[in-house]
Amino acid sequence: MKASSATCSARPILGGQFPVDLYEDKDNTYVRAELPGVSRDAISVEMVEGSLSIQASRKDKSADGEGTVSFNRLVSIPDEVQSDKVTASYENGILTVTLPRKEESKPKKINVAVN
Amino acid sequence: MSFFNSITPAAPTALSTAEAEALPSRRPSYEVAETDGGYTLVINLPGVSKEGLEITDEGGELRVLGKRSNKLPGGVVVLHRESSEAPFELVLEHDNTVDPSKTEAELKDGVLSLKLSKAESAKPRKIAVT
Repeated sequence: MKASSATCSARPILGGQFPVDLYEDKDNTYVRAELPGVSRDAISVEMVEGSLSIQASRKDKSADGEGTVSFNRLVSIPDEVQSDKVTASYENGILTVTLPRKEESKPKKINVAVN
Repeated sequence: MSFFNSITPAAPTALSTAEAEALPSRRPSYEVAETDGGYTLVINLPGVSKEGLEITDEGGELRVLGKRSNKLPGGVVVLHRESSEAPFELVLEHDNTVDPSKTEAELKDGVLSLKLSKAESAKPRKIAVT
């Protein structure tokens, strides 16, 4: 897995790079990212040349004023996916991206007749 | 800041609930700011839902326990894992300078915001000289 470095401010609560999980079942590959406190419209997810790019920004208010912090990470996806069918959901600060695999990259069962 | 004058690191044995998992707890990232009437505390708790959250304030000790609902679905093959299922636990001492009955809590998108009000006895008082 290849990962770019996350852009983050010096503010400690924002941490550094956000943690990412990658897992799959027979039809889909999933990428899950911990992005607490980000509003849905500030999340952008796209497939770029076999990698999933996750970008998000978070507005923070504090005594020192307001600031925007951006996060981004590139996750390389091992299988070929149907880029137009990628979906994403966000709940409790966790982003889950579902990437349906292309038919040809799914494992195929081939019956071979043995004579 | 004089408020949280000591911070107890989360200890594996400190889990208060009976169904505490075998996993040791982790201290979440958080930020404290002082306001006129009290303090605001912002805690990052990704993967914690309202149901998994437990906040107690007793004897000058504020404890936040967040059980995570981020277990991976069954039957999947894990290719890479960075997240942890360990519960979050944060314990902060405040020497009763806070009135726990006035604490307000809001959980949104994995971020818990706590508004703590200073106890009347902890507020500065002007004393007239007679």
